[in-house]
Amino acid sequence: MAVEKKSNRFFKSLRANKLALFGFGIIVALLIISIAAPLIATHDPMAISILDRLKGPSSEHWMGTDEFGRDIFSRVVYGTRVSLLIASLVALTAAVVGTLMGLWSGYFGGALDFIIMRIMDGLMAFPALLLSLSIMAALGPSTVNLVIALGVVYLPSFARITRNTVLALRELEYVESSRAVGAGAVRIIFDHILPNCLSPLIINTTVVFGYAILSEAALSFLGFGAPSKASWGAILSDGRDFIFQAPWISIYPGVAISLFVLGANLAGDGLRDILDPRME
Amino acid sequence: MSFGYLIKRLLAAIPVLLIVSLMAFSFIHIIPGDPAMAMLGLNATPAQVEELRREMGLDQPLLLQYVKWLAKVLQGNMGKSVLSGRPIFQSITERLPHTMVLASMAIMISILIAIPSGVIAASRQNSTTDRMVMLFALVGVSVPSFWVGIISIIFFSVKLNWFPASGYVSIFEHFFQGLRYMVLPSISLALVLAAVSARMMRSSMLETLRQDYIRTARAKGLSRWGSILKHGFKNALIPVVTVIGLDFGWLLGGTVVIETVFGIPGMGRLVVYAIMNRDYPMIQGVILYMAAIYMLMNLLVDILVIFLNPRIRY
Repeated sequence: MAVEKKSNRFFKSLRANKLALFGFGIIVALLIISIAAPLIATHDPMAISILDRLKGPSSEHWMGTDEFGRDIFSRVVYGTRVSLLIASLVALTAAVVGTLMGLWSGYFGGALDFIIMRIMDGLMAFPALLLSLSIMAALGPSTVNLVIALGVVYLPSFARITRNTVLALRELEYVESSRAVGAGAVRIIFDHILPNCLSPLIINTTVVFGYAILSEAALSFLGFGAPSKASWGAILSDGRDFIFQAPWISIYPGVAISLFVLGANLAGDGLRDILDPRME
Repeated sequence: MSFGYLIKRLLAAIPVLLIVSLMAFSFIHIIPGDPAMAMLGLNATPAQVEELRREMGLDQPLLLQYVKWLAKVLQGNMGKSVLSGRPIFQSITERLPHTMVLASMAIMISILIAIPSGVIAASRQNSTTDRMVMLFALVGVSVPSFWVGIISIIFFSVKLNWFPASGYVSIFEHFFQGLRYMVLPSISLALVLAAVSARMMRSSMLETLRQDYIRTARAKGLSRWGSILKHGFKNALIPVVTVIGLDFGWLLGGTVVIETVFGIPGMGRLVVYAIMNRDYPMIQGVILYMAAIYMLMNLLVDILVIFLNPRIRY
């Protein structure tokens, strides 16, 4: 009952927040595009047609073609799948690992807390893109390594947010009393502490989701993305050598990236207004 | 500002620097397999691999390797590039000025855009101007800077012919000529920075304008703009300066991509080239150097904040 009331209130505030709604709308629309890619794409994104190479936007090829005559519109549509998949894996990995680290650090404290937090300090001392780049350089190109390289960059924010919330909650009465009635650490953490960390974590996940798309695009642009996967960043990068002859190859994937990140930012801002009562 | 605080702040940076150095050192050791083999490629003879291992000290115990490496780094000796055989420190000091010019120009342009627009937006809260500034800020943080770079080349260089589309002239050789090559790259980076700072400037200005001392200033008969500029501005600037410091890490990452788009021979190009050619000691040197610059920048920002707000005492 109480939960239902809370979720009702959430959707009510969301409906009132037009910008946030717009942001979620963009994300949902792109999710649908990625699922329904075969229905939306007008061509096979891999089909090479030398006769059609470097053609400008037309009724046949809405966003033009690349140097192999592949249809950019269809490539961008299919690229939604790759970009969204990588970004969600990155956000999810960083959120799960970072949160677990933060929970441990905040609840148990001690030497491991010290070590974890110093590693987080160290990770944050490197410029993010450079950190991902060097991890990719060390581990070698693969999709899993890309997710690791980007996940590591966003992990400290989750660990810190969780740890700070846990530190504030750990000494509260309801946690004390549940400890007094004999609840174990795992139960206290997952039943009482984690639910109270969720709001800031959800906000952060949304924002990281957007940033992960930007970082993935930057890495792909530099040639260190997931190998043979045509993400938006990779398509944009393909157009690099043709910006004078065929600028459309780079323009449209950039629009897709910006649109998605805009959606994630709006959604994140909206969630912050709704979920974080301190900001009201 | 107290001298004691400065010393404390400097001392606090040492452990983080040590962790950073440990991480940069470990970099070579997270390479799967033998780093020497990875660097030399498949055609290397076992004797060559053995020689490189000895040269890099890879045959010694890890802790000893770290201590020796750190001692050398502290003397400015980061080893030699596997690719060119030149000292890494020398390559970095040659490339660094180009990156620093790019980064400083980007920061200056972003401040010139962000601070006035943030102040104007805050002083006319909820007006059309305010909404436009916020919209710009929102779009600014959402577009990839390298894409802005490409679009600006297409528009300003190819279509309008205002700026050179390719090539590079060093600002240190021909100042005005070099400046022309730096305009588009630094604006591409500045837009994102300006978006973040303008937003911060606006909210911080709004916060300041609600303070009692602003009301007092108005009550004394100071005009609205007079109170904003004389009393509000400096205080509102503090969070903005902090944000600029934090964004410097983003900026250093951004230069890597922008240098690639515009062909600027800075640190970014150096590290990308090193990664493509598995020049691991060079990559290690650049990341260590960049992290050190980032930390130094944040230290400077902390000190600047104290100058701006004498009430802050640590």
